[in-house]
Amino acid sequence: MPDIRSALLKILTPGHYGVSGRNAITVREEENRPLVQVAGWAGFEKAVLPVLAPLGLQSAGDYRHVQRQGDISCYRIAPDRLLLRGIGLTAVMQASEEAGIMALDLGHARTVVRLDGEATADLLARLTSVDVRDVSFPVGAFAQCGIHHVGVLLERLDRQSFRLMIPYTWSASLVSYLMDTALPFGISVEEGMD
Amino acid sequence: MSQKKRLAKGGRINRGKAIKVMFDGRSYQGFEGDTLASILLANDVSLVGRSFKYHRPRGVFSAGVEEPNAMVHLREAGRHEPNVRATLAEAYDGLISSPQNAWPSLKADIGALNQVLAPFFSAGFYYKTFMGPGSGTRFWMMCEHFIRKAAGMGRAGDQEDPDHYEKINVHCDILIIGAGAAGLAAALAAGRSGLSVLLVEQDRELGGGLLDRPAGEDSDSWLQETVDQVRAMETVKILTRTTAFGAYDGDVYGLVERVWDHAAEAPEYQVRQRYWQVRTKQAILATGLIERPLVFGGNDKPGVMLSGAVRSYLNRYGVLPGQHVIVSTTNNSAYDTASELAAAGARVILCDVRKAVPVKLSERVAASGVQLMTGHAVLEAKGFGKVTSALITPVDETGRATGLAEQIPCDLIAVSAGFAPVLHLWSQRAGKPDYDSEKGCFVPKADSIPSMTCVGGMIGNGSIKTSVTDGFKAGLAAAEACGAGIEGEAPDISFAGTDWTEMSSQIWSITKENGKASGKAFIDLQHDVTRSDIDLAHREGFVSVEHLKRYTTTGMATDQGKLSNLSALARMAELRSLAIPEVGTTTFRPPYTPISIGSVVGHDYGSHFRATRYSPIHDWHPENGAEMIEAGAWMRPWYYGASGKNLRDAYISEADHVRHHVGMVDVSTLGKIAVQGPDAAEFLNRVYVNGWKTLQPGRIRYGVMLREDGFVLDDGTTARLGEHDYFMTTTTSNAAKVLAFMEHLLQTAWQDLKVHVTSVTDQWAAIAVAGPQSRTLLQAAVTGADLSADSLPNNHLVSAEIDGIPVRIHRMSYSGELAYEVYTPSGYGYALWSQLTDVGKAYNLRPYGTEAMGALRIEKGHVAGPELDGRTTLKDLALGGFASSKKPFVGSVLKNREKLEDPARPSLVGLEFSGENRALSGALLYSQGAQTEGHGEGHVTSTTYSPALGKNIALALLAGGADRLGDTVQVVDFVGDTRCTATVVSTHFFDPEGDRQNA
Repeated sequence: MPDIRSALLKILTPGHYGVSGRNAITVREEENRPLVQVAGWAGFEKAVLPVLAPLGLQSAGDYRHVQRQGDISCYRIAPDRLLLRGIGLTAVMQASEEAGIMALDLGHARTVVRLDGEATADLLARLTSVDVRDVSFPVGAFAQCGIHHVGVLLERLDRQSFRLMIPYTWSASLVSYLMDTALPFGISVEEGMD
Repeated sequence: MSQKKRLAKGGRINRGKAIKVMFDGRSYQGFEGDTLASILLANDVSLVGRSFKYHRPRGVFSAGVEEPNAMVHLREAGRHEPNVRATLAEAYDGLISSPQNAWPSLKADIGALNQVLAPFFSAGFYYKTFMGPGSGTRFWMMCEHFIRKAAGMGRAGDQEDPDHYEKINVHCDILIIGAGAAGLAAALAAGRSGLSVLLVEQDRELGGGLLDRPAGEDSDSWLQETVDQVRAMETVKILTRTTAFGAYDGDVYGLVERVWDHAAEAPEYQVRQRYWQVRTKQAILATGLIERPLVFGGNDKPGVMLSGAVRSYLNRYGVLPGQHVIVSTTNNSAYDTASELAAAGARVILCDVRKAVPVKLSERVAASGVQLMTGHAVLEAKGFGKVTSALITPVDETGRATGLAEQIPCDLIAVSAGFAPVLHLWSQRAGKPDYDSEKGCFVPKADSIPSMTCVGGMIGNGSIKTSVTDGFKAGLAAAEACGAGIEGEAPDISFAGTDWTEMSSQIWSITKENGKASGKAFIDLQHDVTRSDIDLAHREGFVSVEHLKRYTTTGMATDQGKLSNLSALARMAELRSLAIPEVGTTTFRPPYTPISIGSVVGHDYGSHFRATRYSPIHDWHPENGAEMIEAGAWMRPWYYGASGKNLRDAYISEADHVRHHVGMVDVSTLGKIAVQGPDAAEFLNRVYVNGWKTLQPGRIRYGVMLREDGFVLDDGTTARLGEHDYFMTTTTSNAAKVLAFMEHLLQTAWQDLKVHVTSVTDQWAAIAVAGPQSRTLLQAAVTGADLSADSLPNNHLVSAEIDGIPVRIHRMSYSGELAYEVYTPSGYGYALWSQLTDVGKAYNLRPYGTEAMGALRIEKGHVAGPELDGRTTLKDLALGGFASSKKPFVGSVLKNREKLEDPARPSLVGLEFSGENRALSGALLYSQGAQTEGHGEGHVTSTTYSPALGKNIALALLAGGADRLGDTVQVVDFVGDTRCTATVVSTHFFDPEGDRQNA
C-alpha cells in the first residue's frame, strides 16, 4: 500500500517565511491517524459507552473539551456524534455495530495541522472569530469554527499550541491562506508527514 | 516662504524633526506631529481644494474627521488614495499629495465656470433636467457623458495596491471608544478591575480635546499621569489611530486601525491597515462632540474655519492661521479661542450673537485684548479666493440683522454655533436620538441599550469635571456588569474648561433684515448645498427629512453631514414652523467615517478571494498538461492541451477516444454523502422519487430528488454498502445543498427516523474509467475481484485492491460507455490515478477533462446542472417514469400542481445542427417562421460537438417539446448575435438502447 499523500505536499515546504528575525509560529502537518465518527440517536450517551470503555473513556464528554486517553482523542461534535482520533480504533467499528450505533471511517477526510509558537493565538484571531484567549479557550478546549468559510475543528493542545482539523480537499487552500496571514509574524514550516 | 504662519514656539509637534511634504507640486516644510492640513496652514496655503458642484475655492475648515473641504489625493501609483481629509493625514517626510476635483489646476479650475451656471444647478436639478426637454431620455443621454465625467470628488486609482491589509477578531469585557477626558477616566476605572479592556482612539495620541488646550497647562499633567496609569494596566489594550466606525447587534463593533498610514510604506510583511471585529460585554462611548458652523453668506471661503479647529491649530500645532481674526460665536467655547489667539499675537474681534454673556468671560477676553461685540455676528465673508474682510452686523435673537453691517478687514473668521454630540455609534444600534432643546443638539436616549453607556461630550456635557466623573463611574459600572465590582473615587481634576452649554444661543444662521442670506450661505459645504436649496426643496413640497436629504443631497457626501445635518434640520424646522425634533432626523448608519476597501477585503483577494477545493488527484492534472477550470469551489481539469490542442480539438479528441478505446476522468468532486442508520432505506424512500426499499447490499441505483415545491433538486446514484450503510453521490454543485436539505428534514420533519447523514466528499477520491477497453484495463489492474459482466453487472459494486490500494469499484456509466467509478480513500487518490495511468498505457488509456465529459453525457441525453436549474420538473426532463406512485416522497404532492402539469411547459429535447451551425447555451428558441421577439419558446441548456455523430448537437428546453420531434426551430443568441436553425430530435443521440454501457 502506498503512503498516504498529503494534500499540503506543495504548500508546506520546510523553511522560514515572512518577516525575518522572528519565528513566532511553527506549522507542521501531523501524521495521519485513524479518525472515526460514531453516531447514534436518543439514548446515545448510554449506548456509546460500550464503544468508549475499551478505549478507556468513561463518557461521551462535553461539547467544548477534548477527552484524551492515551493516544485517543474524543471530540463530542454534536449531541449524538463523537469524533474519535488515534491509533487503536480498529475495534470501534465492530463495537459500534454491536451497540446499535453507526461508525464511519473518516481517516482520509481531514488534514491535521499543528501550530506552535508565541503568536499562534494572534494568528488564529485573524482567521476565526472564536475567542481563543486563555480564559475562554483553555488547554483541552475545542471548537468547530469557520476559517475562510470552511468548517475546521480547532483544538488547544497547549498555551501556545493548537491543532486544526481541516477537510482534506479544502486544506491546501486554507493552509495557504493561513501562511499568508502569518507572514507578519514570521513563520517556520517544519517537516511533517510525507 | 517657509512656515510663515508657524509660531516660534508652542504646540505639541516635534520641532526637532523637520519634514517635507509635497502638495500640488510644491514642497512644504513641517514637523513631526503635523497633519497635512497643519503644514498647509503653517505655510499659508489657503486654497486646498475645489467644491463638489460649483468648484468654489475651499480651504481647511476643521481639524478633524468632520472636514468637508480639504479633501486631497494622497500618495501615488498603487498607493494612491482619493478623498483623504488633510486634517487626518498624518504628515511624514516625503508625503506626496495633490488637489482633486480641479482641472487643469487648482488655481485655474475650468470647473469654476459652474459658479456662473449656478442658477441651473439648484437642488434636484438632476431630476428636473433629465425629465426633458423633449421626449424620452435623449437629452439625458447626451448630458450623462459630461456629468459622469464631472461627478465625484477624488479620482480612484487603477493600479493594484501593493500594501497588505488584514482582519482580526478580538473579544474583550469592556470596550471604550474615545480617549478624551471621559474615556480615559473610564479606562482608569475599568482597568482596575483586571477585566480585559480595549481603549480605542482615532487620534495618534490620547487626550481628545485636552490636546487642543495650550501645552503646559494643568490639564497636561493630569493627562500624562492618567495615560501613564492606563498604559501600566496589563489588561488594558490601547489602540490609537483606530476609528470605531460601526456598532452592530450582539455588541459587535467594527474598527479600522491605520497601522502604517503615517508612513510612506509599511515595513515588509506588515499591514497598512487592520480591520478589527470586536465582541464585547460592555461598551462605553466617549466619542465627544463636533462643533457646528455658523451659516452666513460666503461661509465657505478659505479663511472661514471652525473656532475649535483654529484653537487646535494654534495650541497643538503651533500655527496661527490668521493675524486679523474675527470670531463669530453663539456660545462660550469661542472665548477660549479668542483669548488664546490674542495671546499669540493676533488682533481679535469677538462677535457674540448673545447680548448678555457671562461676566467672567467678557472680563477674560477684555484682559486678553480682544474686542468683544455682543449682539453681533458675521453676516457675510468677503474676499476673492479667500477671506479679506467680513460684514459684521447687529442681530436679533433669531440671527436676523437689525442694523447696518460694517465691513471689517480680516484674514480669518472663526465660527461656532454650538456643538453636535458624536452619537453615530449609539444611533446605529439604538435608532433615533432625543433632542435637547436647551443645548440645541441631539443626544442619546438614556439607558437605551443596557450594554452601552454614553459619557462626556457625546451626551451634551459641557463640563470637563463632570465628564471625568461620569466616565469614571461608567468604568466602574461596566466592570460591575461584567461581574467584577470594584470601588474607587473619580480623579479630582484641578483644571476647568469653558462650558459651552451655559447660556448658549441656538442661532445657527445669520441673515439680512429680510431673512435672506447675504450671498451664498452653505449648509453642506462638501456637497454645495445652500440655505436657499433647502428653501427650494420646501417650496417644492418636500417635508420629510429623508426626502429632503435625497433631493438636495445634503448630508450625503463623504462627511455624511457631520457639519450640516443639524443646520439643514433647523432650516426645515423654521420653514415648517415646527420644532427641530418634530422635523425629525435622519438615520445614522455605518461607517462613521469612510474606510478603505482594502481593510474590508483583508487577505480575501486574488487566489484567496474564496477558499478553493482541490481534488486529491489535483496535482497530477497540471503536471500533465491539463488546463484547469473553476467549477464552483473546485478546480477541475477542463481538457488536456499538452499536445498543443485548443479546447475544441482537445475535447473532441478526448471524447472520441473514450468511445473507441478507454478514458479516465477525475470525478472526486462528486458530492458524497454517507447515509447511515436502521431507517436509512425508509429515509431514501422519502427523499428520492423512486423506490429504495428493495435495493440489496452491493447494488447501486440512480435516483432523483425533488424540492418540497415539486421541482427537481438533484440527481445521482446511491450504493448500498451494508445493511444500514448507504453511499450517496450528488452532482458536484449541489452537494452542500442536498446535505443541508436532508439534515434539515432529519432535524425537523423526520426526527423519528434513526438516520445520520455525513459528508464524505473529503474521504474519497473517485475516478471514472470509461470506454470499450475499461473492463479489460481494470481487470488487469485489480486484484481480488472479478469484473466480468456476469460477476459485476451494471449497477453493482465490488471491493478490491489495485497495487495494494484499497478500492471500491462501482459499475455505472455517465458517458454511455462500459464504465466504472473507482473509489479510494483520498490519500491514495493520486497513487491510484498514477497506477491506472501506468497500467493503462497498454490499453491506450487517456485522461479526459470536464469538457469531454460534458460532450459524452450530452450525446447520451443525461441531465446535469444546466438542466437541473431549479425550474424544471420530472416531466420537463422526461424523468417522470422514475416517480413511484406507491409511496409519498418529498415534492410528491406539489409536483402535481396544474401549472407544472401543463403540457406546453418547456421540456427536454435534443437539437441537431447542420454544417457548422451551432448554438451557445442560453440561446433562445423560436418556431420556424415566428418573429424572434420576447423570451421565445425555450432555450438551449447544453451544447457540444458530437464526435460520435459528427455534428453539433444540444440539449434544450422547448415548449411542448415532446410533441415536436422533427420540427425545425430557430436558434437565436442575442448576446452573440447569431442565428441558425436546428432540428428537434430525441435527447438520446447516441446508443439509445444502451447496448454499449450494458456490454
